Amino acid sequence: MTSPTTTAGPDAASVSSTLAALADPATRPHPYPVLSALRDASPAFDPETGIVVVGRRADCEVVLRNPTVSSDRTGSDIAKVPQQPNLMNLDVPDHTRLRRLAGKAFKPRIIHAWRPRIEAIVRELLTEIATAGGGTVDVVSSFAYPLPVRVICEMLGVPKEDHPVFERWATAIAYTVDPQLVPGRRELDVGAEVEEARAGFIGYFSRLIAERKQDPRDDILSELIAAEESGDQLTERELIIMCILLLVAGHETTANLILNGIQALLRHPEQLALLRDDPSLAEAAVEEVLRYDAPAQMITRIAREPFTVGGVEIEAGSPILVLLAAANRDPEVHRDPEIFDITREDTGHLGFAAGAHFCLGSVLARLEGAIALRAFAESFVDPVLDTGTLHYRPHVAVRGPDRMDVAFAEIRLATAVAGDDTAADGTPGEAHTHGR
Amino acid sequence: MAGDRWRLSVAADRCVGSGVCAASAPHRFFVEDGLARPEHEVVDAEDELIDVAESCPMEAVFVRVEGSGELLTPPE
Repeated sequence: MTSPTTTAGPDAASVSSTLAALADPATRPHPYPVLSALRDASPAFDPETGIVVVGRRADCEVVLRNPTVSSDRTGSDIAKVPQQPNLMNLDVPDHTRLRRLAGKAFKPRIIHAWRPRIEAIVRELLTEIATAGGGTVDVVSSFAYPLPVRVICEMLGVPKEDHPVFERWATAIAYTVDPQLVPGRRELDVGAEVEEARAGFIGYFSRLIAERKQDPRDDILSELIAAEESGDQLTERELIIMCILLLVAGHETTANLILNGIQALLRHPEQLALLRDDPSLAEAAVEEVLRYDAPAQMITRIAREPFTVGGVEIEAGSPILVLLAAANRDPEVHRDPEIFDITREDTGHLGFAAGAHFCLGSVLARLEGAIALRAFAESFVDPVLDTGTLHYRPHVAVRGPDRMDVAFAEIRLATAVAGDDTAADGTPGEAHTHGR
Repeated sequence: MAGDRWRLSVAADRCVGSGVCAASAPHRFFVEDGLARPEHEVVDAEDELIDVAESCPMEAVFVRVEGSGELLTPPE
C-alpha cells in the first residue's frame, strides 16, 4: 500500500500497537473497543507486518468480493502456521471444483430435512443437563459443543464416540485461521500443536476412508469417496483435507455461534424475554448474534493485483486483514451498532463473509443456531451467567468462550423443542424434568 | 452439448447476495443491491457454469438449455 491518500491517515505506530492489542490474550473478553479503533483508522497500513487493515463494511465487501484478491496465503507471513490447500485457501478453479463437491450436502433442501434430528439431539442434551442436577452447567461442554459435533459427525459419517480422540486436534486446527498480527511473537507454540493435529487427523481419516470404501453408507464421507473413485474430481489427499475441514468447521464455529448467542441473551435479559415470549424470533436472534458477536471475527487475503479500497491504493502482494467483526458494528451501516437487539430492522452482516468463500455451511449454522437459542430460552428457567468462571479460548479469529457456567432453577422441556413424545433413541421423553 | 446455448437466471427469493457466483465467474455474474444477476441471460454452454451454479449455497442459480427449457441445475 502506498501512503494513504486520505487526510485523516492514521499514524503507523498506533496501527501496529492496536494490532498488538488485538493479538493480546488479555483483550479476548472485550475486543470491540480495539476493533472499533482499527475500523475508524482503516484502511490502514501496518509497517511492522506489512498488513493492510480494512474494517469498514463497504471496504471489507470490496476486498472479499474482488476476484483478483486471493485466499492462497502460501509463503505469506500473515498466517500463524503453514497452510494446507483446503477450501478456505484455494482460488478459482480448484476452489470452485471442491466447493461444488463439498457443498452438495449443505444445500437448503437437504439441511432442512435435518431439523427433527437436530431438535432430538437438543432434547437429549437438555435431558442430560436436567438429570445431572446441580443447578449449574457449563454450557460449552454440555450443550453448545456436543450439539454441532453430533450433527456434523452424523452427516459426515464419523462415529461421535471418537469425539474425545479428535477434540484436541480440532481446537488446534482452529489456529490455522489465526493471523500473525505481531511479527515473531508466539504466545503459544501453536505450530507444533497444529502439526500433531494434522498428522492425527490424516491417520484417523485414512483409516475411516479405507473402512468406508468397503462398506459405503448414506453419508457425506461415502459421497466424497464416490467422487474420488469416479476419477478426476477429487484426489485422496483433497478428500482427507476436506474431511478435516468439514468436521472442524462444522462444529467449532457453530458452537461459538450458540455460545456467543447464549451469552448475549443472558447479558440482555429483556432480549431473552422477547425470545422466550416469541420463539419465532429465533432466526432473527441468530442473525443479530452473527452481527453483534460473530464467531468468525476476521479473515485474511492476499492482493494479487493492485486495487483501490476506501480511497487507498493496495499494492500487489499485500496481505490484507479483513475485520468482519468490526464491519458488523460499522455505524455507517447500523443504528446503535453496539446495541444487541434481536428485533432490529437494519439487519445484515459479514458473519459468513462474502464472495467466493462465503460460508459453505451457513444454512446448517443458521438452523442449528436457531434451534439451540430457542431451546435455551424456553428450557432454562431463571438462567444466570456466572461471570466469574467465564473464560475465552485463546484463538483470535474464532471467538467464543471455552468455559461458560450458567446457573438455573429448572430445565423445562417444552413440547416445541421435543417435537413429539419420543426421543431419538426410542425412549419416552418427559414433559418436565427438574434440575434440582 | 457443443453449440448449445444456456439460459442463466438467479431466483431472487433464494439469493442472499453471498456473491459466490460473482466471485467465481466475474464475467458471468454480478451482485447489485444485495442480489446476484447474470451478466448475460443466454450464453454459450460451458461446463464451468454448472460448477459455479452448484457452488451457490442457496441453490439460487438456475441453468437451463435455451430452447427446450430443460433444467440442468439445481436438482428439483
